[in-house]
Amino acid sequence: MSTIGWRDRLQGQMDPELAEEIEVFENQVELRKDGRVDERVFAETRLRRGVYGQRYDNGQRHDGVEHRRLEFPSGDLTKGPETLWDAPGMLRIKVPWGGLTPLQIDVLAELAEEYSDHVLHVTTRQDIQLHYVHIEDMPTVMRRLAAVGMTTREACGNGVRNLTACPLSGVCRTEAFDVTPHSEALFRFLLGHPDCQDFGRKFKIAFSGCADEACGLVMMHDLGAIARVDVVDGQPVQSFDVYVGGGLGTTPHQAKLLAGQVPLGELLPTVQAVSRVFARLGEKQNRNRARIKFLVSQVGIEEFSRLVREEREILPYDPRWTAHLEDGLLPEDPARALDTGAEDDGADPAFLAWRENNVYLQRQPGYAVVTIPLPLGDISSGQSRLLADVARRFVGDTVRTTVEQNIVFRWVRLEDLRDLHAALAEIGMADPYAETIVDVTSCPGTDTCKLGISASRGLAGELRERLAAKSGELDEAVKGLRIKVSGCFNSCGQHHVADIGFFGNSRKSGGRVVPHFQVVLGGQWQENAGSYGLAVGAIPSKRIPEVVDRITNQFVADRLPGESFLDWSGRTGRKGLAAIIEDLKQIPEYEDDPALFSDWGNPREFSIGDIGVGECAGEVISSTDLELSFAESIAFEAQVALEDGDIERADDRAYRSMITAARALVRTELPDVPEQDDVIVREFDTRFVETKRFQDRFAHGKFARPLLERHASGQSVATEEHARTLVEEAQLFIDAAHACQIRMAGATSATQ
Amino acid sequence: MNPHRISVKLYLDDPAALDAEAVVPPFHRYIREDAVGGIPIDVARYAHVVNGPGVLIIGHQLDYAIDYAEGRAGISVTRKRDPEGTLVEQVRDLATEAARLSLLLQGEDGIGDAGRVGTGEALVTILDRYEAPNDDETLVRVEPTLREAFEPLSECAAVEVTRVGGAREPFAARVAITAARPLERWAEGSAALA
Repeated sequence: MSTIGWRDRLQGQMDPELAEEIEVFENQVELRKDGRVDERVFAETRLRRGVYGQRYDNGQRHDGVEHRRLEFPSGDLTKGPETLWDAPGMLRIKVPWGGLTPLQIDVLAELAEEYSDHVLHVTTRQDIQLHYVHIEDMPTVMRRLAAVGMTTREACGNGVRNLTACPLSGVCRTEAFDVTPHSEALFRFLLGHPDCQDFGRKFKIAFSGCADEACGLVMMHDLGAIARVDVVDGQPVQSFDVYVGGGLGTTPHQAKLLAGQVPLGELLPTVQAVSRVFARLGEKQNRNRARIKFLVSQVGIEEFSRLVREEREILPYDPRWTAHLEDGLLPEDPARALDTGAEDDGADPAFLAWRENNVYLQRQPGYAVVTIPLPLGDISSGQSRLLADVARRFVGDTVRTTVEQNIVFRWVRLEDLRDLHAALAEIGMADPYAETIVDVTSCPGTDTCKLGISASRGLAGELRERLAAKSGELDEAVKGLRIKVSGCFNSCGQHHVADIGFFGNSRKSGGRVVPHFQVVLGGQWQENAGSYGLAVGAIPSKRIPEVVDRITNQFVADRLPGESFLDWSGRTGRKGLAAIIEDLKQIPEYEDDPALFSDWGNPREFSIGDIGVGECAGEVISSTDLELSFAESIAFEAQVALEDGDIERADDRAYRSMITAARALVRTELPDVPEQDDVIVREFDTRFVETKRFQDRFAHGKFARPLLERHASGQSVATEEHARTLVEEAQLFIDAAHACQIRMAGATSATQ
Repeated sequence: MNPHRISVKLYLDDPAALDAEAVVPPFHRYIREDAVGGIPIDVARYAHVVNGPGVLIIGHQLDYAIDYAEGRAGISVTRKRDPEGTLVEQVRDLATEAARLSLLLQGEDGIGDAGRVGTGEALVTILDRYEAPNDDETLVRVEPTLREAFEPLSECAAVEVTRVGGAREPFAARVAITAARPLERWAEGSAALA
């Protein structure tokens, strides 16, 4: 009941395009339940809407003694290959440039309570994730998000993921200029953009306000833009340096300069051109080589740049490229005007410690940014509501998530700092460890991720607890170090760019498997993740706290005056670093230390049998398949409308489904096919009907006729009989489009 | 009313005595031994979140938790899917499940009495803002159900129902039970109490 209720209640509150998207997805959920959509197509469909699988969703779990089958009520029904329908999943919600409002936080809290496990999880890419959500609840969750301007669209799958940006943008003391409006414009432009629907892999974008700080971590992204200002003819001119081909994972790459000093109005078309080159030339079959970093590496940055310039030249003009510049770049306003601007610097030690680590003075005098650390990126629904109230009181809509899995409040008046600290302390959110070694970052790891090998969150929690307990004794040089943990080599915890990083793996000993973490030292957080760390050896999980102690102690003992951890680890070298922890690699007999054979926070004897097939890569489904699947959803809506007696809608939906299917076919030959029905039908007629390629062997041109006739008539006939006929013909048209696509694919492969 | 999710929480007698992490090993074992209802899937640990959901057995139909929400530790059980019986039966079944979990934990070495919950008070939360917004109108609709569910758990059929929380929170009602029957009776379930 509440599913239908929410849909009706939220009508008119959602962006129409997003509402339509969700409607389509809801239909596809129904179609998949009826077995009318292929599981691989459905998997990519849901991934492109942020709906991920979760650990154990193949229905198998190792309980510490043996593998057991989870007997879900829907049996073998799947929502993707080896992914059972009833198995709970994760929903990733995009938070472009980390921007959140208190109202959005309230709604996120509601959703965590009603559909998830009462926890919001901030990711290392500024998204928010809900875990343990049932597939059938997803459309309602999406609607409630859309009603407050949030989307899950393309949060997973082979598309443009969340767009990240430095949380200090606009208030930073060292930035060239505020990148927020540009990142927002690019986010909106690329969301659902046809040129981004045929990637072989995901595509991550980051913005940074300057080259020197950590900020947006541009150098580890598929594409990144760094703001710059140059003086030309005595006038300051803003532009972006655009980088491409960075990435972490098993084969980390530093991004390369694609184009320097790209004018603001050229940023969006440049990224569009990159997208088209990637879609056209990027690897599609071997997902391990399908990120853009491999394409850039393969053709070389000079050739890649030439291809992008060439593509840019032939792009059809789009007014959205510069609309945000013409509309004016609205600056963010403080929620509270300055009174005195004077900071109350009383002597409460808890406040002083918090102010030292968690407060950043903005370039605007009298204001500060306050970081609110979230342990392991988690915040409960109850805390979220209280935090939203604190935001309303002190900063209004200027809340942001960070890639270090925290939340920041911007535009805090200095005179409010003490009251804000007290308000945060009251709700248990005034930990004074922001951006220190205590503030450990971690991906979900074996807690919920299908690919997790070791318990990254378990380890991160343990390290956080131990380091917090001795934070007062830590050497100043150690206090500012960063620790980041990934549950596997895929680097979601961004271990490559930490001073001290770890990623999960395992080793066998005496017939048993022992959880390990590979130790990675000397990554560079600054200069937009300017260089990656060195792997120095795999150590059993339970000994990692000892690794941290030894490495930090050695650093303090050895470091030259003013020497950074990066420089020290470089000077010490891989061999020297490995020697510090060498003896910890030894694995004793199980009987001598059974604890070593289980992981942090999980008493089950360790097993790698729960690792599933990852969905990060998405399914390699062509955009034609997806568009035809979309057409089927619209045809389904037509059937529902017919059953409801809504003849006009049934006719409209049936017609629209055929237009969509026709466009899918036309797009295989004309990537820029416009949205106008006249053009689509004309191109379809010319390319597929007149050439007889759409003809069925037995039915000949019969299946194309309903579209051509309905389009020529120009209006709905709107009688029940006609609508019923058209609905049936629409389904046959879509089937014929599928058959045509298969014939075309056969012809293509036969010629290769 | 057919709410999306309902939860019943019973409060620990001595919250300070229980370390949330101590329940992690038994929770894993309960999954292995099918000691809890529904299809249990995994254990989720959120003890690091202040006033959060604590440590949970996540299941398909039911979640069981050592729950620290509202700053008070308790055992909560949440019905998420596949409800059975009337709303009265659903609520009472959740109270039964919470009582059973408490008894299970009390039998654990290293936990013992720290796992004991009181029976004089329960918190019922309806996690469905569409069906049950947190207002007095919902209280009027729900109160008879809660009375019917909890009166058999009192020796003298005396319960008091009070709405708690604000409009942004899910509907929640505190049920005070006079002369509550012992936990062991609660754990016997609806049939024994009928």
